Amino acid sequence: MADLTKAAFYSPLNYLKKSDDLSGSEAVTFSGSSLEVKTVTVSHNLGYIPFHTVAANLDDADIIWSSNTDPYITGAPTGDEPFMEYWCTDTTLTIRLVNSDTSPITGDRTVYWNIYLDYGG
Amino acid sequence: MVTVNRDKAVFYSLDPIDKIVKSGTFTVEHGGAQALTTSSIQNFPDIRTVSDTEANDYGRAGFIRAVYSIDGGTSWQPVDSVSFFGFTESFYIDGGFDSSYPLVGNRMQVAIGCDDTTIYVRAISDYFTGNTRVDLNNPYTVSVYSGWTAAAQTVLIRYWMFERE
Repeated sequence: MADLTKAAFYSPLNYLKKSDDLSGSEAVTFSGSSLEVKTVTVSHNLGYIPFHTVAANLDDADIIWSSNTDPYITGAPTGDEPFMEYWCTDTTLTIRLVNSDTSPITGDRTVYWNIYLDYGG
Repeated sequence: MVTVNRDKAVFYSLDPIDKIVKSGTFTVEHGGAQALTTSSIQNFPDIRTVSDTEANDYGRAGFIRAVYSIDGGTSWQPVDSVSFFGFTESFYIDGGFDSSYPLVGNRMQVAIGCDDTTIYVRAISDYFTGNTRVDLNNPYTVSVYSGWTAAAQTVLIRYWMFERE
């Protein structure tokens, strides 16, 4: 049953609007070499730096991690997951998964992103 | 009276907006640093990871925004931020003072994620009280740490899950 108190919508506020064209996911494959870096570049061409959200299944499972983690966080028992970093420019969102360890990583990791049409100004 | 900026009032209904489909709070008890001993170090204050889960009754993995608190909910910080603490490490060789230097440790760092059935959190910390002393004695193969006491803390993690597309 809908809670109508949560349906209140105040139109002068700037809601974070998404675009189906600017949300997506992409799998990258670690080949097993040490200190490997995988990069996904998403073009948005909005002309400004938008709000964005990035997540990834860092540990080769179905878990989508929504925090900008480092290897400690997904540590034992697997211990060798990449960490995620990302940054945005006026035209692109760049996402990197970095294996900072000399222990090689293999298998697929999927990164997910949402780029919003707003920047909150 | 709210000043209306008409540029910001534009709402194109075909643009999706985030819908919060689940929210909640985790309370994680973290015991602080844990002693690590290997062939080359003894009683090193190592990172400890404490995990917790709860059911994702929404039934589909989404994106999560979260904040955490290490002061009982008085202040909150973004889930991507790391809380540090400082201490001094003093180095001794054969019982004689050699040097000391300031260092930082991870007081708290939090990860959060989900799959179709479960919300996962991990609290990571090597928090301790005191300062570390490192003794390296003949034959100089093992660094022995002392002077630190693991410090337990409670971390509150509030989260909001929203659809990922």
